[in-house]
Amino acid sequence: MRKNLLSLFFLLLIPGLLLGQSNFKIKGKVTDAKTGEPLIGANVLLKPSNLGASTDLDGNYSFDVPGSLAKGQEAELTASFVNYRKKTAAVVLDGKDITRNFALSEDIFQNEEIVVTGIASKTAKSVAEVSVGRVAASELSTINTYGGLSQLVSGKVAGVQLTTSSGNIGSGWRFFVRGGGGLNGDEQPTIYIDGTRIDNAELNFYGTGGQGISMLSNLNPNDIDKIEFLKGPAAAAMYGTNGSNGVVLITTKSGKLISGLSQGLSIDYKFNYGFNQQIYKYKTSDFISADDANRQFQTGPLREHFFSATGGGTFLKYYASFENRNEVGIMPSNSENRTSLRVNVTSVPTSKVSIRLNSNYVNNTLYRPNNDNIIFGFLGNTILRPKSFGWVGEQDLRTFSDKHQINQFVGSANVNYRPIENFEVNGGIGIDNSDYTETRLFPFGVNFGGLIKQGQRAIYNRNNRQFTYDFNANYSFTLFDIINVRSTAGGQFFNRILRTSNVTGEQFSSDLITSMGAAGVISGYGENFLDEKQGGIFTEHSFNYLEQYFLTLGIRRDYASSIGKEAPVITYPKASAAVRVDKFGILPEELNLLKLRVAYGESGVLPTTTDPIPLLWTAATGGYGAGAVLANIGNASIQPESVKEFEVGVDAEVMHNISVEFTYYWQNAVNSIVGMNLAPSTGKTASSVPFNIGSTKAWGFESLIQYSPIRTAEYGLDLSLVWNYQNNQVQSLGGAQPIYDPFNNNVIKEGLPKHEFYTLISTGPKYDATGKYIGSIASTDRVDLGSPIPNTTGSFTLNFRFLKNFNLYAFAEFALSFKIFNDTKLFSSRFGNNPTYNLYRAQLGLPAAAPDVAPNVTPLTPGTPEYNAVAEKYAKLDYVYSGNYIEDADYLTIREVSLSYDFTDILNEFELMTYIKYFSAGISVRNLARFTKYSGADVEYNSNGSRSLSRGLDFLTLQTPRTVNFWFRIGL
Amino acid sequence: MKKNRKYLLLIPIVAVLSFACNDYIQNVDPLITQAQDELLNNETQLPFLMTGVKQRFSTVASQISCLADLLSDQMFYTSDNPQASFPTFEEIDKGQILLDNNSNRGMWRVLGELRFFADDLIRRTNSISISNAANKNAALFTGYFYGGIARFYMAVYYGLAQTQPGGVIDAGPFIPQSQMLDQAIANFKSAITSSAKDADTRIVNSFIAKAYLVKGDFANAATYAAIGMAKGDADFLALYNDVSNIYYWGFAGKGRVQIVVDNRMNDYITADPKEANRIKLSTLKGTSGKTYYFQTKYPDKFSNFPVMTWQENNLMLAELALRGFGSGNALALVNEVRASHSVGPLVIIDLNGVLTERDKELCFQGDRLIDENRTGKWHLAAGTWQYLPITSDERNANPNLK
Repeated sequence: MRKNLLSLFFLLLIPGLLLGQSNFKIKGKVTDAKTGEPLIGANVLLKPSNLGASTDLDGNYSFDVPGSLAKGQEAELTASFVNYRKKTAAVVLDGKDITRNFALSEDIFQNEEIVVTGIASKTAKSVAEVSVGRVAASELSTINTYGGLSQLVSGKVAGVQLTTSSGNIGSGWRFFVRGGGGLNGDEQPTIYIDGTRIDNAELNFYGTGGQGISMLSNLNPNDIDKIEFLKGPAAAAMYGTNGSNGVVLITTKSGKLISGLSQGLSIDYKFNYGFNQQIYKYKTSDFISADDANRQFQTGPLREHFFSATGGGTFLKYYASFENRNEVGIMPSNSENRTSLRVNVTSVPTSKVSIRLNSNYVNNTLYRPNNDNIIFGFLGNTILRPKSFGWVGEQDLRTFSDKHQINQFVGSANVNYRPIENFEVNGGIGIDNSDYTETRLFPFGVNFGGLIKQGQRAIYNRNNRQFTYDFNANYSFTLFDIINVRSTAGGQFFNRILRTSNVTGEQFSSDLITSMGAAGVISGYGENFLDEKQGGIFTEHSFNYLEQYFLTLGIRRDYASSIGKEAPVITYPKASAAVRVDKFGILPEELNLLKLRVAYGESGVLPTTTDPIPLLWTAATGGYGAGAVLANIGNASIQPESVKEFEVGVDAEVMHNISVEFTYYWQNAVNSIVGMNLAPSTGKTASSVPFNIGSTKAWGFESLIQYSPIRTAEYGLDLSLVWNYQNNQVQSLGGAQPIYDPFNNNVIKEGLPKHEFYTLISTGPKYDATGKYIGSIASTDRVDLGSPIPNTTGSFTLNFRFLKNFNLYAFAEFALSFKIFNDTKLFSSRFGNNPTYNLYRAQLGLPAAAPDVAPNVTPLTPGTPEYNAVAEKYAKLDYVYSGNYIEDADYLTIREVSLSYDFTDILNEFELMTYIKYFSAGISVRNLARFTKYSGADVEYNSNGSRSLSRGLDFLTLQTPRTVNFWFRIGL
Repeated sequence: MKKNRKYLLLIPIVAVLSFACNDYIQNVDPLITQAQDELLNNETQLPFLMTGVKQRFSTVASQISCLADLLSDQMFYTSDNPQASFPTFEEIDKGQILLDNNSNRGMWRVLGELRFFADDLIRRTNSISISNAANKNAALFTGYFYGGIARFYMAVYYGLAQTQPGGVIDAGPFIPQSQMLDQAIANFKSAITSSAKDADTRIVNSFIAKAYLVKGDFANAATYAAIGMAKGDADFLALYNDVSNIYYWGFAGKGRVQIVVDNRMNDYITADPKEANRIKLSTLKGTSGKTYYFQTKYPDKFSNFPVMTWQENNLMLAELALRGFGSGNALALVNEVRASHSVGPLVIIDLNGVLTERDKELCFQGDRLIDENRTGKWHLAAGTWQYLPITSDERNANPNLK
């Protein structure tokens, strides 16, 4: 290891050695073709080497080239800049200085931007054969502020739904990509940061009612340069198993090439101050105890400092950042304090080699409140019953703490080597190592019901190590002198090692000492370990004929430790093609881009590590000691689920200011792993038994329309609309019984979409012989009551630059055909906290649901039309049948609004620009307003967190807050 | 094309990676929390397996008894109780139990496990080589005895319909109560052949007597009760500790009171304060201000749970004597039980009197439901569930129940 580090050190020194040789210079200027204005920060690269530079404040660039490279050959000099079309010029390297100027045209919709289209392939978006979702994170961060990755991604990518589970700071969230892939797994995409597959777990070891902590909350969004989304097997097949729900590729910022090492430094500081506040106020017309509930909310402040230093020269560039974010939620006992440090370095030691090192360390401390399905929760103690704090006193509630401490290191090293012309080798190693400790404390002397009086402290430790290894080689050549071919072969391996341990102590003798050693009783303990590996080899071949026809064929063979003892091979093929119709010369000039594309790919979802083992026993402890009990019932012949996807799409650009992207997709999953629940009388119920017997299909479309009607020096207007439709259906469970969530409402059932609400409802009232109401009539069978996952989603974006330096940004999201189970309302009715429910009972002459809640009304006479009308309405509120409380939840949320001003011009007037490069400030509001049919507090709910079978469950869940931010950025 | 020979460089890369994959993927460290079934086919693992059976028995014993008490007239559920929130308990209390009642589904699952663990222990013990006969007998005793208890529980607590008691084994057809009790008795008798201790044998005999009593076979009941537990024998307990808690504590006790005790149990104490020695109650206030009682017989989460006692055997002997079977003196037997709690003697006893004594002596042990059903004294309206229903999980997955 030490030897390797030394080698790496000397490798990084090579640039210095090279500088000592006889060099020549390449220099010039990059300008806007329309205005002639210099373009600051444009990149100029010499190919096939990795040498280049960025332009300075006057648009000039300059870099040295070692004399050893000058052999009189031709090379390509390419200039590129964000939102501009790149240009390439041929140069002859003969050892003499070269001057080349570039005038670049605007590329409003970034069609010339290079996007990732596979594990080892990238191309300009204008010729991509698959739909690739993009989030221009670094651009968004300049006009808005984001607390985490979820806020950055939400609603921005066509075909991708992102739902948070609650308003907890650090709460988990869930992707639903296109039609949700197949039946298996957690439906989550695989996420890579700079080539490292990262931990996307929701941690929820000790329950606080339902919500977990997302490991993705550790990521500092200010560090992200861009996010690319390969949405399904058609694009992600070469990522192999677990690519069926798509692949998210996050690229963090890198150093910028600025002429000359001494000038290559830019320092950026951003300060953000704001607060979180309650949006929805509980109303006494809905809950008798509404005021008690509203009293639990607070305005939570947030402060964020972000520094970054960017720079570099010809051979070395770097990006370093520091972030501290301190945020308090709208409920007591909920906060986050995140400190992040990142250093990214790119080195070009020789013209044939480039090395990129990325490293990020995060220390994150979160506090999570009790809520949801727990009697110690703030909402559970205030809006369930007309008389609050029946379980725990108001002040006692606030003494509880659930602390999460995370130390995470994510790093990667990637090497690109070009030993011979047209041949390159890439290798990468990524590490995600996290230590996580949860400490839950019920303080000594505080009365948490009868369960805990003398205190309880519980500690859970988790160490997760993930290693990603990538290797690939590419060779480009020309076939028959007219077809450009790029062939790739490589491998990818992944290893995850997880260790956990936990211990719970109770009955402390004193409130002074809370260490586990002072516990009178150890009431819980455990340990776990998991070592899993996956790997695959692949080869992919791309053909480009006259820059008009594009074809890619690929195949991947995968292996995994969770697929039986012999690690059988699974094969995933892919094929994609595109045609640039606009290059045929038959279309009107106004249609400056028209591309048709089609793609097919296969991927899969792995079984769990224990699925292939027929019978596993574990130890259960109790009054007799530790004894053997069943832990898992598996199936030795289990295989991964296979997910196939076909997509067809069109990309067009009209008059350079209207862009349309449309994709239709169709997914089919076969061999889906369905857990067959054996009859409990067999005694084998520790788990369901996995079989490859299921199948599903999903289909839908995603579209993105962008329009830039105004683009002048003073004004600019960009509008965009994302509109998605998805549908899916479980086709077969192979004879297995429907699978229900723990609340017995969401179902996986043949003929229905996944997670559909499928339960009993009341169809009407039941009367006795005298006409008196005696209960409701239940539906004879369960009823399809709609989906907790919207069929239709989308967003509107407006970005308006006015008076040159003002920028107004607004972003709204909507969802249609969407249902939520209002279990909060169900229980409040049952416990007499629902005034309407109480009124009906009184009118029907029924006993009050709780003491002192009956309104003073005269009971109606049984048998009269008035009585029966009330009975009809009351029956629909019968809490025995949960379907009565499943509601429409379509919504429109004004998600982000920001107004910012760039003071740079003013500073120029005062000649402050000698010291300050730029200064901008703004105000932004997240979740400004919500419009919905739903009667509860929020629609972004799932009481059981983000990884449970339950979906769309509102049970005493904390609403998402409105967040107001005031910020400024200054560049030195 | 000549220059394209560099393309061949890709071939060795693919080949090397292909060979490396298998080796790399299979080289993982084993699980530490779980063991494969075949590894337990060893004499040294028998104590681990036996403890597992007992562990699952303790999971079942207090839980099934508490739910049975809730269904009987000994305990009830009220939403006036500020600690109560489980609708599933309300269904059980009213005997209007949906087949997918979650509390009952969990109960039926662990009862199925107890039966399977016990039977599997017998199968495994008989299929492996065991050098020490005592080890083999201990394992067989454990398997047969707890397998018998599992069958007894199914027979007396579960039903296919509201008044059709019985259970199911291994996804087979419904087994009516009488046949299920025969299976339980056969298991108990097999356990006796492997019993190493007389005290254990007497416990098993008391269970056999109890099974015959429910069957209405009073002659055999009397035979086995006569050789069952005797005064001075230690209670046969389900054991709990701080990790694995007695169900009553967390759902009907000091931990959390969701299920309260019927007022008539307090009436016994009002009539004779000494009854508080065996009917242990405490009070809580409802949201209406009304006073409710809850049991404190099991005051701690680690309190052990009596499943069979010499007192119960005495009361069986007394009942059987009054029914004309056995040679016991019913009044003396009952008074011996009362004296063990310092409760004064009775001067007269009849069958109803024995049932009342059972109500008090065996309170919060799951026996009241058995007595209500076997004596035809059901307290709810006709058409209500007199047993816990065999669950929807079983009915859906068991082709023999369709």
